[in-house]
Amino acid sequence: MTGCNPGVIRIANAGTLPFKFRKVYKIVYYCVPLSGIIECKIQNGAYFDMKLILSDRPLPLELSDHPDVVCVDLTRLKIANCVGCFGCWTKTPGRCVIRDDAVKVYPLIAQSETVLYVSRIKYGGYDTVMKTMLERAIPVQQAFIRIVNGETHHVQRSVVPKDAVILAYGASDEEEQALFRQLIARNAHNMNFQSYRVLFCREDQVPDLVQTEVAKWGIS
Amino acid sequence: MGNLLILNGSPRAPRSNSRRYAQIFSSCYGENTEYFDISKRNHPELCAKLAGTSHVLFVFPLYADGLPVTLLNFLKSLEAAPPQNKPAVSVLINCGFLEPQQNEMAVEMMRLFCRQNHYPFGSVLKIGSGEAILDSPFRFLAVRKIRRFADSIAKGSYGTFQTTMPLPKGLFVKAAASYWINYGKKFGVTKEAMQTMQIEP
Ligand SMILES: Cc1cc2nc3c(=O)[nH]c(=O)nc-3n(C[C@H](O)[C@H](O)[C@H](O)COP(=O)(O)O)c2cc1C
Repeated sequence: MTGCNPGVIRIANAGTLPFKFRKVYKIVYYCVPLSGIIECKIQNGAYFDMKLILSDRPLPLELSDHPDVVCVDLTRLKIANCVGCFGCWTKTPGRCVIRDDAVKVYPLIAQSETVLYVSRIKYGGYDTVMKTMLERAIPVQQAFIRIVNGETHHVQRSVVPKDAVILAYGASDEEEQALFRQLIARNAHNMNFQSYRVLFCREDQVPDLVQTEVAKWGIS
Repeated sequence: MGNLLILNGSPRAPRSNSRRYAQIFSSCYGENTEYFDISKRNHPELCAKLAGTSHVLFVFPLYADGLPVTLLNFLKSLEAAPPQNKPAVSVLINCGFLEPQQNEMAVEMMRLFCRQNHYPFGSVLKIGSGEAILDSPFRFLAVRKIRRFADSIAKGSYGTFQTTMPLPKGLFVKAAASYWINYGKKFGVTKEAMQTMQIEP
């Protein structure tokens, strides 16, 4: 990406950032949709709440005045399926062995306090684009297991607890919506959601609903 | 009872636990079974196979509380190219965590697929601690449940079954830790390295 401010430290990607660093520096991320490359800038300043929009469709958002918000259009990224090799737990801990665009996205998921996921629903779950990314996000967890709410779950690495909004479109009926709601309740344990809301809409309503949600973050 | 098709929806199908569960199933099931790994390229071939079978068993792992993308994409292909006679669908799912109930959402997704696409639904077997049970002293529990599951399909008296290692959760946490420590050792990676809190270090 061109046009970085003088004095801004550039690093290759967000994931190289030690967790405690976040408290000292201000982190500003930009997503460059065309190349699908995400660049991280660090500026002196206080730690602030990073917000992530992860979407399986392009969104008409103008975010240039909001450096704390990153919008990732997954359709523009090259993300292969997880192959279930567990390399990210046992071989190169915290790093996926498949070096495609997913490795730029899961650090963003880990570092965000607020997330808005926009996805089509299929069979009561996330459709392929979002699900592919979520499967590739397991490097944010350790292989090791702990007990959460009486159930076994993985230990998380430096994953910030999140307030999540899931905007799901294309559900065929209420039964599918109910199943999706239950899925998100389960995901909350594995994805470190401290709170979550699930919203359903038709595909053509997505842009308006996204606007309404980001307006709550002070973005008009 | 007729011929039965087994489709493995694990992304690492040839080396998967699902494959091992499928092998045990085949040895318990009285009639012939035909087994295939689902891959990106064989959807048309498998859809055609499905047209000629009376029962299909999907074996797959739980991925992020749902269906692995490998299976999800196949179901979408099947929806687009449905067979004229719809076979009954049974499900054998395994997950890494101890509680077999954690598989429930994925099973419900399979039921929803069947309802939406008019496939009769058969039996379900949910396996917890699915990464480890077959190489543990509790293997016999998995084998026993797979046999009951296979019988239920053979007799057409469908039901839902589940099994896991009968360990207190605290002990499972410890057993899982030594399993993963040994896994790391194969690559010369220590427990401490595996416990890094850094992401993309
Ligand atoms: C990307 C990914 C996501 C997973 N998600 C879950 C999960 O949500 N819950 C769980 O209990 N296990 C989960 N697992 C563990 C697998 O279900 C488990 O290792 C299983 O035994 C793999 O079966 P397979 O060898 O047939 O693929 C996940 C594994 C991977 C690689």
